[in-house]
Amino acid sequence: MNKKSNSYEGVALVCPVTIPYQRQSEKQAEWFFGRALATMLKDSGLNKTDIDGLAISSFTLAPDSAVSLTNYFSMSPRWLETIPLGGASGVVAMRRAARAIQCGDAEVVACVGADTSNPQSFGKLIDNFSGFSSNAVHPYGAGGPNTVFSMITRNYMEQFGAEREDFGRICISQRDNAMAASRSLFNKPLSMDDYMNARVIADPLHLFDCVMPCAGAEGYLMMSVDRAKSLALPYVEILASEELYNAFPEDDIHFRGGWQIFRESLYEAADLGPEDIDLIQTYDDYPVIVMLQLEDLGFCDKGEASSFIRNTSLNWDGGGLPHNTAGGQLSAGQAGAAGGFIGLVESIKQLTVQGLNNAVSNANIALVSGYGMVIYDRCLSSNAAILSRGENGK
Amino acid sequence: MENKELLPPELRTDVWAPVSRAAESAEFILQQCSACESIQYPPREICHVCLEDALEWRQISNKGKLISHTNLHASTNAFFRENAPSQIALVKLDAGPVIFSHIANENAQTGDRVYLLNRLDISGESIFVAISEDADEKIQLNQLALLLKK
Repeated sequence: MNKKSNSYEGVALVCPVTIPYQRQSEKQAEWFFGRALATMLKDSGLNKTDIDGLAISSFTLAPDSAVSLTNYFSMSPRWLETIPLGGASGVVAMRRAARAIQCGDAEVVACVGADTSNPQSFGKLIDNFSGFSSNAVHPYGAGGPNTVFSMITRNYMEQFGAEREDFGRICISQRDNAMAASRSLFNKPLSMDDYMNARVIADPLHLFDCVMPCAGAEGYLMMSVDRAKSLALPYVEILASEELYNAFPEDDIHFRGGWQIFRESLYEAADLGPEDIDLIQTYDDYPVIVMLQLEDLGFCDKGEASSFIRNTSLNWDGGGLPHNTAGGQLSAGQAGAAGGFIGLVESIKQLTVQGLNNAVSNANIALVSGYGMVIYDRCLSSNAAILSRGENGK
Repeated sequence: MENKELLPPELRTDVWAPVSRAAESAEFILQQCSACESIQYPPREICHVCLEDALEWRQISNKGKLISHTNLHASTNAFFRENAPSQIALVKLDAGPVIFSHIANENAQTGDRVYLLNRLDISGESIFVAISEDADEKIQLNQLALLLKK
């Protein structure tokens, strides 16, 4: 079914930025956008006027929007994009910005996901998430994603024999990674006992299967490879990328995503296979979704993720398949739409920044996977990108 | 602060109104396209298959199978938090759609045959309740007495 896209050649991702996550913040979303932009300018040596494109994602910026930010920050970009795709937003922002740069619609694009978090923001978000949820999920007290993903998790366990401990292995590994990256919202390692004995949220989901909402921002700059070289910025290139929406609508319950449909053309475009991937960042709203991505992206067969994880370390330094090396959302927290950028930003860091405490050794190729927007009984967006370290990176 | 009585959420949009009216007479209705016969859920204005504006509310078989279920302990709604846990089912109707519902049978297992009832809750919202075919309906509905409108 796949039609071939043009290549993403000549486009660079630089200056990965994370604004430290906070469990709650009195600041507005604009503050997080502003700090991310300022950090990018400092890291790149560019002036504000050099940024002529802006792609953003946010849940808590409303009623303000991307164009509001141009006014707030006194910027006059000639290209503006909003990506309202939650956990799929980072890769999609990258794809849109790459085409703008290739076509000359913009030269330097700032891509930022940012959100604040306060006692009201999460409730407001889930109360207004989709019309289908309001009519057919909320009235059961099942607002927010926990109920939906408890259904998906139970089905996965019953269909494929996964055990709670298997999900626990993912969560424990990510906590280890978050500790190494100094990004854990929890400040201590997670043991299997902690995981197993945590309070139940919506069985089989327990506390550590669920992400902690928080405030923060993630972002990166995009420009041509030539521009990155002339600025002497270490960069990452896009070898391949795909996106797909509402894949497998015929499935009564979610057990596979769009990755399964496009993975062949993804690897073909990159001229690589799963065995060539040095590190992977999946979207980890729940550990079962990590498993779907490992399967659908070809690291193991469908239903085999549990045994894959039992036999393969996911730790940054475990010598297996380094996965969610900054701790992912399960341990670093879910900073709203920034959660859709954490995997891509961490990949750019791993491939360009020297001296990371959680540096994966000999990392040249990263796979990033995005997933987002539960409208009724599953998330509808899936995407992925394969990135490679640029010539003068690291 | 006023001590308001806790109630299940009321967030429905207008497209749901016919289901609520049907709940008053305990009828189970879903939308079916008069152009292509596709049955739809959740309710909408346009047929998801042929995209025609020809959806009609019809009585549809309420029989189906439990495909997943949970005990929700951490609802975002205060009523359901106060009365936690609440058991929620995902039901695949023989007619096609996959539907979230309440379920009272504590021994319910994936694969069980169930049927859905359309009832009003104490907020006056219509909600679906999954009843296990092999257990007494009255006893199951009594389990949800706090939630259902008398």
